Amino acid sequence: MEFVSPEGLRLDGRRPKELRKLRIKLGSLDGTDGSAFVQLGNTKVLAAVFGPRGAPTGARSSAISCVIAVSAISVQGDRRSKERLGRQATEFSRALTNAMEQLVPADILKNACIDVHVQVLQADGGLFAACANAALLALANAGVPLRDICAACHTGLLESTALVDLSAQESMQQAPQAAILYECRTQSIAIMQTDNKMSTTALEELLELATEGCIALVTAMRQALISSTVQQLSTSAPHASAAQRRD
Amino acid sequence: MAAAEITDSLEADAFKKLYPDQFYARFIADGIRPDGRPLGRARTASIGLGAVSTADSSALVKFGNSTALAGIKLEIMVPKDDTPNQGQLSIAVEMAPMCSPDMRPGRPSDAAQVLVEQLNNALLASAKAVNLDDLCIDPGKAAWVAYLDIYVLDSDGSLADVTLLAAVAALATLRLPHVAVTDGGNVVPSSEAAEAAAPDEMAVEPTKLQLRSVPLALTCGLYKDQLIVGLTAEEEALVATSVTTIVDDQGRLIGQLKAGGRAEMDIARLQDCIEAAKLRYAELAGILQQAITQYDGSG
Repeated sequence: MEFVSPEGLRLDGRRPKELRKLRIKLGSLDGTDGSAFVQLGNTKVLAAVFGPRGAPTGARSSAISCVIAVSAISVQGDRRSKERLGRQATEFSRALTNAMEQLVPADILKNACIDVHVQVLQADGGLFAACANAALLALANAGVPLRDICAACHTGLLESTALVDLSAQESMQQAPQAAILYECRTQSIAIMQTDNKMSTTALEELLELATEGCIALVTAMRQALISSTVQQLSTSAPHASAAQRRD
Repeated sequence: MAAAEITDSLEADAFKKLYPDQFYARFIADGIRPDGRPLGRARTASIGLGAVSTADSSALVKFGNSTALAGIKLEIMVPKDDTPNQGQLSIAVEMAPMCSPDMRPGRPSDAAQVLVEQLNNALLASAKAVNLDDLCIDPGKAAWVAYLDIYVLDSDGSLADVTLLAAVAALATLRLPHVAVTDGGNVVPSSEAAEAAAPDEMAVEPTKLQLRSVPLALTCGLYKDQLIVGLTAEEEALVATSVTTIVDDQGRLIGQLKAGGRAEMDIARLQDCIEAAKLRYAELAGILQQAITQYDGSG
């Protein structure tokens, strides 16, 4: 199978360094403290945040918890493929929880806890990157301060071409793949996950591309956060501004 | 001026938190609810069909904030020995942890189990909306099993009504692919089987699952002897008792559930609930029909 045509186009018509279409919707779940819907191509995930709130009595392994739930209807194929994806989701949830513990300042988590729930609605390529982005956006939407603005991105090396943001079809190949969660201010990698064996030069190439992808995603995510905040301010205080004008 | 307004709204919020019952009673005395609806009006419904393309059919339904996502995945099974002509409809409800602040991930909640029981009753036992014979492929050899999974994404009252509409919408747009059973007992798409037998024949369009009836529900509550239609989560906590009524497209009563509560209801009140459910039915059936026509038109 040919993943990059002689004209330099991928199967879905994208160029090697082109991300899929990103759609972000913030604060759509009223009952939560913060929420984010992220659609990256055909991958759709919904994240919600409760907290910071008083820690419940009883043992809790950490003050912040992030759980990614994969639903059976979201997965291509039968129930067994859902279980496989569910196990991978548990692994990634753990990594994301660890990363968030470092991102949220310790004084916020004193005597308080934060619960982040991510529901996968439709799984396609780059699923866990989308989950991480949605979870971080939901945290920001809930007003939780973060040490750095981060984004996650998935890359792969197919037919010796580095491709950013793999589709489901591309990520099914036994080719070198790497996904990272990148902190933009400190320019460092919080989570890295690789699949299939690769040379160190291939890894270097993938990481460089993934970093570029993360920076592009962060720009879009920051834009979405700013415009949702502006919108929130303009709808929540119309009478206050009207009163000021009267004065 | 601005400061005074802010204190006013702060005081209203505090009053609502501290004395939810009095807060609500003041509204109801004026014949209006905190969200601006009259007592007899349920929330506006919206239906998005085909929301999840990895499922064989799906529907996202919202009543105000209450949101349910229903999806169906088809698999093939060998029919049970005592019902060789029947497929299976397996219903599951999951309250996503994000649907309310009190929800914890893990074991399915009692509320979810109750909803499954109500859906089973509405779709299979009582209304017989789905005829399991329609899910048969080859008697005794192969049949469809339809896994209907419903995820409650935002829990803001009237969950029985939202989940039932989502289930019905997903079932109404479900298409069964044409398949054939080979001599070896394997199930293959019938286009392949037909090609082998007669290569010129065109592949047939998948058939729509026919619903034998279309049940829909409405939850009403009794508050200070007034009937409140289409409850939110806040209202569900305040009303003395609530009744869920399920009617079908011919106006027949499919089921009515009054799960205890602090007040009794006489028969006339229950009749009022049925009348309200019939009125709501006409509204929802119109929205559902419109959504299906639009969905079929778009392919």
